[in-house]
Amino acid sequence: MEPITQKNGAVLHVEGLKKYFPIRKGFLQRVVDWVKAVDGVDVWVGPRQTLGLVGESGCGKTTVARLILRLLEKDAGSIRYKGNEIGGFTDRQMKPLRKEIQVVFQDPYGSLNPRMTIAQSIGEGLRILGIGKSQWPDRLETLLRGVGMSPDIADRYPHEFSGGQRQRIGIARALSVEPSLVICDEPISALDVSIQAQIINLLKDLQDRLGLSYLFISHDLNVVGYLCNTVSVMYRGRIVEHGPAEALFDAPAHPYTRNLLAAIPEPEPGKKKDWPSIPEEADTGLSPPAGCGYQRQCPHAEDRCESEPDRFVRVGKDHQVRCWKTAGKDSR
Amino acid sequence: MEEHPAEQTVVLDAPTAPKRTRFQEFWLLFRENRLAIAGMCIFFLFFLVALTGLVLTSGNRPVLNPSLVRLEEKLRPPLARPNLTSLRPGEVPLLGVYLFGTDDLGRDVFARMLQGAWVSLTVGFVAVGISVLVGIFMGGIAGYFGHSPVRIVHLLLAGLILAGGGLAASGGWRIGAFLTAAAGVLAVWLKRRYAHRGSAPWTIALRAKTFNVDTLIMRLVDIMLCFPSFFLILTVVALLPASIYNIMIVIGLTSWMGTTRFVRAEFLSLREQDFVLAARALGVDTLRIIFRHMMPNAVAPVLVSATIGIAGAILTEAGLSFLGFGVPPPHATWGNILSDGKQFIFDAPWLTFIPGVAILIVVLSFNLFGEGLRDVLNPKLRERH
Amino acid sequence: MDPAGGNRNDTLLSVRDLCVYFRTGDALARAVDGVGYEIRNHETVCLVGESGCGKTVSALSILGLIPQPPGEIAGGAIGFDGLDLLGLDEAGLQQIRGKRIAMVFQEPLTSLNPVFTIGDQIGEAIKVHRNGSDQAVRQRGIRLLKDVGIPSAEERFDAYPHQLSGGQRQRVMIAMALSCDPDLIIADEPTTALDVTVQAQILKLFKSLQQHRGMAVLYITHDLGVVAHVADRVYVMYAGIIVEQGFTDVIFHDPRHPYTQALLASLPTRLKRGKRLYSIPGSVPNPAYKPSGCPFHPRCRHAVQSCRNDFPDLCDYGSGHLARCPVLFEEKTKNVPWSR
Repeated sequence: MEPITQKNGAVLHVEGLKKYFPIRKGFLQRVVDWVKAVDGVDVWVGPRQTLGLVGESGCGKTTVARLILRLLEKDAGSIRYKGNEIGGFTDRQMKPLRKEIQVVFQDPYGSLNPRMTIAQSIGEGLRILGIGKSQWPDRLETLLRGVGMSPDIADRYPHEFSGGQRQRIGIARALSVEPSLVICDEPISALDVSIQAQIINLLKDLQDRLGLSYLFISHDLNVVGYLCNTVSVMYRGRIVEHGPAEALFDAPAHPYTRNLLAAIPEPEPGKKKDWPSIPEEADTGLSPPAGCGYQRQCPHAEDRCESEPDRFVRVGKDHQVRCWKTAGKDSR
Repeated sequence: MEEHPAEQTVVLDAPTAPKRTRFQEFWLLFRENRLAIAGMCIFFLFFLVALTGLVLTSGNRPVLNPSLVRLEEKLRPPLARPNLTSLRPGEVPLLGVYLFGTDDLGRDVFARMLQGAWVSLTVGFVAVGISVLVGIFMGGIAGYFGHSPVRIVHLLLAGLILAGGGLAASGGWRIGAFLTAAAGVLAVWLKRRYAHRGSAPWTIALRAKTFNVDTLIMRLVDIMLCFPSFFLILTVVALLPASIYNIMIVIGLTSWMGTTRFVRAEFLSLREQDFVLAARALGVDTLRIIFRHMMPNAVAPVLVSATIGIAGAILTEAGLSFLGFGVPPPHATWGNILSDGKQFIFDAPWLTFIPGVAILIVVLSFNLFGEGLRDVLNPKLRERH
Repeated sequence: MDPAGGNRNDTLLSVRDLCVYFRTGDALARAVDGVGYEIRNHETVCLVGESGCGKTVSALSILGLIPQPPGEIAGGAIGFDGLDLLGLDEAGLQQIRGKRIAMVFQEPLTSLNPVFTIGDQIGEAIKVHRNGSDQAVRQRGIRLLKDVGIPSAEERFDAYPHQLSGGQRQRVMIAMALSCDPDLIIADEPTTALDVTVQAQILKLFKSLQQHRGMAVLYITHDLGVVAHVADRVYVMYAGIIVEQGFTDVIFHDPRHPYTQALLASLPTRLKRGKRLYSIPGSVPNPAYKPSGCPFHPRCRHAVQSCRNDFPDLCDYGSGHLARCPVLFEEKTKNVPWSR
């Protein structure tokens, strides 16, 4: 992907990230093939910006999050945080940086330790910052009020709270170490509709107040369209389209993006949707074809799709797509 | 409808259900199992009895004397009155009757049972304590570091430490301590200097991978499980000088395998949970994650097997004493009393009956308590997880 | 379709005043607290609500699938084509299940038995209610798989569940539900666990099946987008009661209960970029500790004193549109239009 022409000072800049998982077969467990979970992904997040990473299950977006957090070791590529290359850092080198990049998880029921009180869970972060126990009550109060919870819940256990409340507590924990970048891995997918709006508003407020950057991972295009500045669409380990949110939603260039947008049922009865007839679902067992990874599902596929190398083409300001055909049609 | 007013972020939520600690919820579920409650009561009763027994029967002038020999009073049945004419004043039993009768040396069986209770209790708890500690450690390492390879250098250092420990235990204190210390210093020095670099052939040889930590520990478990445990214990106890401490340590060191498997299984599943990932992302140390974050969640099955393990340890000790390999006389244990009484089983059946029933009640109640714990702890906690 | 929405001869299923309670410890959770809805032949009715509102419980009670301790059916009636379902014993219910009312569940991963082939499971569904030789059952099973759009149906018939994708498993579930030509299918969040493109295909499948076979569908979901596309009529549930009901376009374009309005307003779309989303303060009440009066009043912008004291009745706006909010009903006379 060509370098994103933004101003300098990226909070996060990832290039060419790859993670392959080996498939072993046979008595001697020899490696016969690789699952290319992440196959050359670029990510760019600016200060106070939100990048939306969109894709369906199995596309590799959660793996990207784990790789950036260094919870998983990458196979190739560079990860730069505020200009520093952290991809090769050892555990000891990562330790001071961990508080700068935090994460909010999808499942509110697994993200808090059931045996620790709220104070203890959030206190782990305060402990990392070196804040003495005497100051914990004040900090806890600030953090909990900041996410809309009352400070006297600090002695309770996670099982006493609902999903939305737990998610707020998880956000408070992530903020306890004062990060600059927060990776939100489907933070609202497991929540009720009315609670989703609360958490979305909360995330927005926190971004304004604390100057956070977000990498917002989701499969819900409505939320991404509402919340994000730029959007990257992932399909089977690769980014197939990237651009500013308005441009991408107004004029989606890649057939997969169009398919995704067309498939969202909108709460508008009478707007009778003609769902595109999509051929048989991707058989993830097969290894991806040469050239474009989407050609087996694409209604516009041609022979050239297999022979032409899978490259990004510009279709607008900061809007790129990995498809020679639609780019040719819509290029300016 | 007009534009919705900007809604503040501050939505002060509080849970509406009454505040209940985990313990209260646990108790509500537990108390529905009558048998388990009975087991638990007997558990605590036994504890009290053993403690009071220790107090009452120890010292130079104990309140209840378990070792006072009164040959004229031998083999008296329970609730028999002492023959006051033939006894000296200090020899009269406390309550005015022989509550459980006397044995073939005229000793008060009640006093001996109380003394033995303490032995059973200590053996049970200490042996299980040791096995749980070893099991948690091994299981935790296997579960968390499972895929990490064990390198030659690790094996060498472990070998040195074990050799040092073994030498120290069998008398060569100085050599043992020196070896262990040397191994420690060597480990630190090697890690500092050659952990990631070093291309000299000997460093490469040292860093060579052998097998996984998980494989190592699980095969060790398999090896230990190959031995029939009672016979192993018997052999070891026969070789070592007879003492209550040796028995406790040996029982403990031969029964950690079950705990290891439980803890490993729990750790394998916990390791992928989001809250552990969150702790890693925060930058919490690995050791702290294992012991402070993961261990409390993995303890539930250990508690169950520990409770049942205490029963097993008591039975084992009774068996050893019965065979003559237990705590040496004149100290009383329930197994001893049983063993002494087997010659008189027709003349004085109470000598076998009373300790036998006592063992039965204690072991049964511990088992019921442990099963009650298992029913409450396992499925419910799974839901909440 | 009869615009009056009244009780007609072709009412297939009618639920009236259903109350389902669960006893947990010392608390009584009133999961379904006086719910009534009806489904007519050939129509698709949606039950919409968030988690804990009681929609799944009410659907399970139709088929008698609520475990009776700790649950209890505390009142109400369920009528199906003249039969009183609540009065049937287990044998009677088994005659209905699968044959006349079939159910499709949410999790295709766990709804299928992993140790039996697809063919075995569809075959079992067929054999429970119809006799036939193995060959006939096999042919019918393959026919069903083709009807639900599974390619290479003959091969897939002998495959195991883990060899199929999530979408295909859900299609198999639908095939099993269709195997005995039921009059009514209850679908409990059938696409929630699936990707959005797969969901689109399944929704399309439901629509085409319904047109070809003329069944009625009770579709339970929390996704208002899905509701807009599949439903003829909608019932909105909150905390165990129906708060609004009516035809789909009326519910979306002219909602008259504060909860429905708030739900629609809080949906994020890219059209609302830059504007703050409306969010309902507070959270869904615990079914054991519901607020007095109207259960929504602690979170409602329009609440007045009477909302706390009196349980509101359904107010009739005509054409089958009813909403359980007297406060807004009075405002209706002032003819205030609603806009998102």
